[in-house]
Amino acid sequence: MSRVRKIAIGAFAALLVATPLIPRGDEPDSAIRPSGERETATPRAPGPGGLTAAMRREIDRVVAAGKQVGAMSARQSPTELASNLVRCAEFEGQRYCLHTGWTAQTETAVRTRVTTATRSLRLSGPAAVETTGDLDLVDTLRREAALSPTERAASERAELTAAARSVAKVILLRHEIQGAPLPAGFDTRFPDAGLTARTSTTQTKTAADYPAVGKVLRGRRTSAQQRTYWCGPTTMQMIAWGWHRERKTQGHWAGRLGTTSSGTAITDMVRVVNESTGYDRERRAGQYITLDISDWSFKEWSLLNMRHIVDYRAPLVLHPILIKRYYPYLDDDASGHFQVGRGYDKNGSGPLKIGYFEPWNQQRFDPSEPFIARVQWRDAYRSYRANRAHFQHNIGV
Amino acid sequence: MRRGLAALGATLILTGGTAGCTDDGASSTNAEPSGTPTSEAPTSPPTTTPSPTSPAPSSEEAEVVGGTAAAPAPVEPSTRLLEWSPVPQPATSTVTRGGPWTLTVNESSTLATFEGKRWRARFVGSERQRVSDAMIRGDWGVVVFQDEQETRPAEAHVVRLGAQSGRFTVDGSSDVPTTTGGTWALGEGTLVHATIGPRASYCLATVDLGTRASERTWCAERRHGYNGAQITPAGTSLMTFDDQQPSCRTVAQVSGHDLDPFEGVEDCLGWEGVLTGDGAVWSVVPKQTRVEAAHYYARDGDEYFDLGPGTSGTLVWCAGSAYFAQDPLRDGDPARLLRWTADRALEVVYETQGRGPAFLTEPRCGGDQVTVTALGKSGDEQVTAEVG
Repeated sequence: MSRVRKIAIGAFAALLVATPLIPRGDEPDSAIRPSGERETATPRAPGPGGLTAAMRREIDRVVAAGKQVGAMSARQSPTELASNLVRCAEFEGQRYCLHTGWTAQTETAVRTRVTTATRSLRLSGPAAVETTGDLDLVDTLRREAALSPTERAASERAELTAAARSVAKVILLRHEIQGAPLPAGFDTRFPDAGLTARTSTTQTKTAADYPAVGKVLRGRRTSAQQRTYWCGPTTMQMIAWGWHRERKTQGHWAGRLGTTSSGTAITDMVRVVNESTGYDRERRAGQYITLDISDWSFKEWSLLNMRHIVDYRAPLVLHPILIKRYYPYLDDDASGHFQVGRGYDKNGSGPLKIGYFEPWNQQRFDPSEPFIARVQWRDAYRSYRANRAHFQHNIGV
Repeated sequence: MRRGLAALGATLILTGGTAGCTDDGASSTNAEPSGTPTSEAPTSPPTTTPSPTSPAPSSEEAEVVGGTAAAPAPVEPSTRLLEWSPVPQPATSTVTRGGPWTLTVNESSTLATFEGKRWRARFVGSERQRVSDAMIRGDWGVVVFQDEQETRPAEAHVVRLGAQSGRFTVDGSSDVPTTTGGTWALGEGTLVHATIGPRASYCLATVDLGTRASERTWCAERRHGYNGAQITPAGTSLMTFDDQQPSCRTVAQVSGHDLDPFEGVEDCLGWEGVLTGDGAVWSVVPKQTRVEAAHYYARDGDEYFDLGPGTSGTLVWCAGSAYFAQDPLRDGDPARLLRWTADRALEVVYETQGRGPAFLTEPRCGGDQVTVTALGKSGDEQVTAEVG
């Protein structure tokens, strides 16, 4: 054997040995780490926390206020539905509003927003646009109104309890991405949040600290929604498929999500991601929350995406409005919608792009529209604006 | 898009099912190429970056020489910004202006209003309708309402602008009926829309607005659909596609009952196109995973031109030029509106203000004016300019 041949074989053998160490971009765990010079901590989301006495009292207060309303009718006006059902709780200085999520807005502002938006929706008819499957808030509220007072109280208590247990994540996201001050004594009350390790010796990560490209989930594990109003079950199917490496039917997820022909509520999307995947673990995204991004800048929203993909190694539940203004390839306007957020690309010197799985296969339902691939990359700012344009402007993270 | 299924839609669904939808299977076209994490990521912007400072070509400059279909000549855009005026309506509405007329569709798409001097016409859909298309061209205006969930045929209200009479409706009861959803286009005295033909075929209908006579013209092949109809003085064009995944997309000219594919367009990648005097302008979408990233081309006679990147779904013909939007190519660049003129000039005619991210929505042509909406970090605006 010639010397050259021996060297070549040796080099090939060394490559084979090293291959398992090379990151594989298609793997959920394979986000490439940056080689930044700054010492930054890898943020991890805190897992579900315990309920403090103050939290229990606050939950009791909000649930009791609902009980005072008594029996309701699904035929009540949007104003009545909003004022009776959209009630907010304060946990550690953070506000959580039933059926809408964590918000920086006041309870009155949230109710007004809901009422205004639902009036507008009602003016154009109960379903005046094609709905791809996110549940408009009126239908969410009507569903709640149809429950008995006891059932509704139990539902609200469960939602508020889950929210209270995730408050540390909200506080940390707002602190580390938006620069909001931490509440006094936070590290003492939430020792498991990892705050000290995160901020005392290292700096909070910025966009520059993240690699050029990050993504999770395999592009082969995608599917198109089988019914026009199943974007929620299909989004959930793809997220769970990424975790379990096993696909369950969209019908299964529709049942778990409580999906109706009116669609799926984002709070149910968040709930089922927590219940049915491991992406809510502490080493991943922690407990998913429904987060109002109306006070988030594009820069902050982008950083949230990067953190989720690279640090949490977990997908996001995107919640845009699917209309031509933001999705110019569409033939006509649709409705609120869910997509799986699963990547970003700094795009060299170009504008930031995000990657997502699109459950809506327009070809399936319309002879005037061609096939669109499930795996998509696009200008991140368009998606940010589409998220903000949805009247709920929230996201599942 | 629709929940209800037209006859052809049913055909497409059946075939879509065999292609892998009904069992949730991911089609091979969704597959990411194996290899590096960036394998499906967008590519860097092409090199045909417009130079904001490049001078506008003078009439003395040599005519741009084109290339072949296989090697179209790249064209560098010059900057020739038009005189843009903000429209009084908010950027959340959609305005089209033409001559003395202003057409406004409100944010929720429930109301369309034509306004001119001492003349006004308002169109409000029923409780279950929404404006899907609204157009002005010459003396004519059209507002199309789509039914909730597109389970009923679309309803178009045609109005002669400024006149007290001459209004009529094109709908599911017309001689050549409308169908649910589908493309609409307005030319000088002509309206085209989708209709269902024999054996559930998906066809194009032409309405002569002066005589109100309708005619069914070309019909798509079985298991094919179409959209993106455009009317210019040179003719009617559209994009037709099959039911494969991905669809094979063909940009073509409608010639009576026939369809003639545009010359020089890469097979199966076309997205939209317009006919010019002796040529055409079109876009292709090369990557299935970046459906909004198009690349634009033009043909003039036998010569071909590479116009650079643009946004799919934004090509509009207006007063002798083809306009299309272009997203910022580099971070901090503006979003731009470009046009390809009859004298082979590629011009940047609008740029967003500020250095933040921005994009343009589909421009609207009212015959002699073009109106564009810009959404950006530095602020949203809706502006119009004379081009005729």
